Amino acid sequence: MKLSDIHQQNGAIMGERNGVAVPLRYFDAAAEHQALRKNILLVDYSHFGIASVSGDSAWSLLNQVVSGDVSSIRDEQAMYSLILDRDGMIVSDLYIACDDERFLLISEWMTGEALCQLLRDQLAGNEEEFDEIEAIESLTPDWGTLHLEGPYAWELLAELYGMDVIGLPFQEHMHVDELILLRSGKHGEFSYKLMGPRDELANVWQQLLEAGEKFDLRTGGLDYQRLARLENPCWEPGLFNDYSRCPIELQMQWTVRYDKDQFTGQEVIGGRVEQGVAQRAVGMTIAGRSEPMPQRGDKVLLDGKCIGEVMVCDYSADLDACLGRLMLHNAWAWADIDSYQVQCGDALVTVNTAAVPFARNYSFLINPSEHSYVDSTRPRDLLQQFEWQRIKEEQEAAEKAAQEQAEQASADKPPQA
Amino acid sequence: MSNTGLNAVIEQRQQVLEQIKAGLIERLNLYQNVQQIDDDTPLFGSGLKLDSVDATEVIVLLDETFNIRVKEGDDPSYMRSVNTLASFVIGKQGEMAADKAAEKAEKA
Repeated sequence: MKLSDIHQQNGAIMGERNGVAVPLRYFDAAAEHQALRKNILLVDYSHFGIASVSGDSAWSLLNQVVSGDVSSIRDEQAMYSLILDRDGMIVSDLYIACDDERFLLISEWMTGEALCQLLRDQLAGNEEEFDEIEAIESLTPDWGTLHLEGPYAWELLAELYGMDVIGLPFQEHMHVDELILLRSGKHGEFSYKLMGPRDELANVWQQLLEAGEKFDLRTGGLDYQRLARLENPCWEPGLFNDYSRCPIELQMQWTVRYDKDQFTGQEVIGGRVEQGVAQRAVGMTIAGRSEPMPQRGDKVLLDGKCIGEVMVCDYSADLDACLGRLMLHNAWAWADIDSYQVQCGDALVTVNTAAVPFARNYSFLINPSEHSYVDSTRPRDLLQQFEWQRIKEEQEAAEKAAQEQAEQASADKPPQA
Repeated sequence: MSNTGLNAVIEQRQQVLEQIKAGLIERLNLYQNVQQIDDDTPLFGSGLKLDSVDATEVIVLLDETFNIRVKEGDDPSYMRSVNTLASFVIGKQGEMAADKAAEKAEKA
C-alpha cells in the first residue's frame, strides 16, 4: 500500500506543501501537540526536498551555496544551515548530511530538483574549479521522509532498529535497513527523520503504528507545526517573508559562518553586520488568554508611537500564555521589556518582550539511558526519578527509625530472670 | 515605566549582553565578534555549540564578570540562550541590590 493510500484510508485531511501532498492533520491540533510534547507524534514529512551531490569537489561546491561550513562535518554527521541569495536574504533553511561518498541536502521549503538547480547554477562556468563532481541528483519524489518527534521517539526507534539509536547524537545519522535515520528537529523535543524510498516508508509507517501503540503514539499532519513553532520559533517563510528574510534581523546569525571561504550572500551580510540593522525580531508574551488577542499586523506602540508590528501571536495552553514574535525597531528590540502595548482594534493590550524559545521542552527531563515510557521498572522522566528517590529515602529513613526504636525497646526491657 | 526608566533598563540589558558575548568569545575561543552573536542565540545544540565543559566556563564567567554565584536551586533554564543568561544576570543583580539596600537600612 502507498503512503498516500494509508493517509486517505485513515481519514487524514490532506494538503500540499512544497508541491507534495501530505497530511495536514489526523486528529485535532491539541491532541497532536500533546503527543509531540508528551510521548510520540508520527508525521509524513515527504514534502522535504532531498538532493544528493557526490564526488571529491562536492563539499567545496556546496560550501559556496550554503552559509554554514560544510568542511566541519564528517561522515554520518549533519548540520543545519541556510541558503542565502546574492542580497544576503534567506531563500531556505536545510540540513546537510555527509553520507559516505556524497552529501545530502534536505529542505522543507525547496524541492529536490530546485536544490539540484542551485548546485548546477553554482557549477556553471566553474567546472574547472569543481572538476570532480560525479553527480547532482534529486532523490525526491521517489524518496520520502517520515518524522518522529517526542520525548520517547528514541525508545520506539530503538525497539525497531536497535540500541544504537539511543546513542545517536543530535545532527547525526545512521543507516537502518534501506533507510537513513537522521536525528534532527526544530521544536525542542527528541526528533528523527527516516528517509528513503516511499514504498519502503509505507511499510515502516505501519510498523511504527503497531510498535508505537504502547507508547500512545499518534499520527499527525503538518498543522501541528503552528503551535510547536510558536513555542519554539524557527525559520518559516510564510511567517517571516513579509517582514524580513535577513538572518540578522531574524536573529539567525548562528547559522552563518563568517570565517569561511566565500559563499553566496556573504559579502552583503557581512556589510550589514557592520552597518547594523533597522529592525529585529523579538519574542512576546502575555500571561493567560488575552482578550482581545494581538493579531498579525497589529501595531506595537510605545507612548502612542509605533515601534513595530506583531508577526504572530496565539495562545499556548501548555504555558497558559499568549506567545508571539514582534518585529521591532532595533532601538526597542530587547527582551524583558514590559512597556509596550499592542493596538488591537480599539483596545490596547500590554505585552512583555521575551527571550525565545518559550517552551520548557519535556525531552530535557528524559535521559534515554535511565528513563522509559514502557518499562515500569524505570522512571519515566527526571521528575519521577526524583519522586521515586524521595519515596525510597523516606522509606529507608522510616525503616531505620523503626529498627532503632525496636533496638531501643529491646535495650530498655529488663532482662528476664 | 517612564521613558527614563525604560532607557535605563535597555542600557543595562545592552551592557550585560555585550559583557556576556565578549566573555563567551574570549573564554571559549569563538570565531564570531560581538555583533555576529544574536541575543537569542542558543548556547547549546546548533547555536554556539557549547558542551558540558563549556557550561562550567559560563558559570566561571558569571562569577568573575558579574560576581554571581550560581546556586543549586537556580532554575537551569537560564543556560538556554545568551538572552536567558542576560535575564538571569539582571535578576541576580536586582536581588543583590535589594539585599544591599536592606542591609544598609538595617544599619541606619
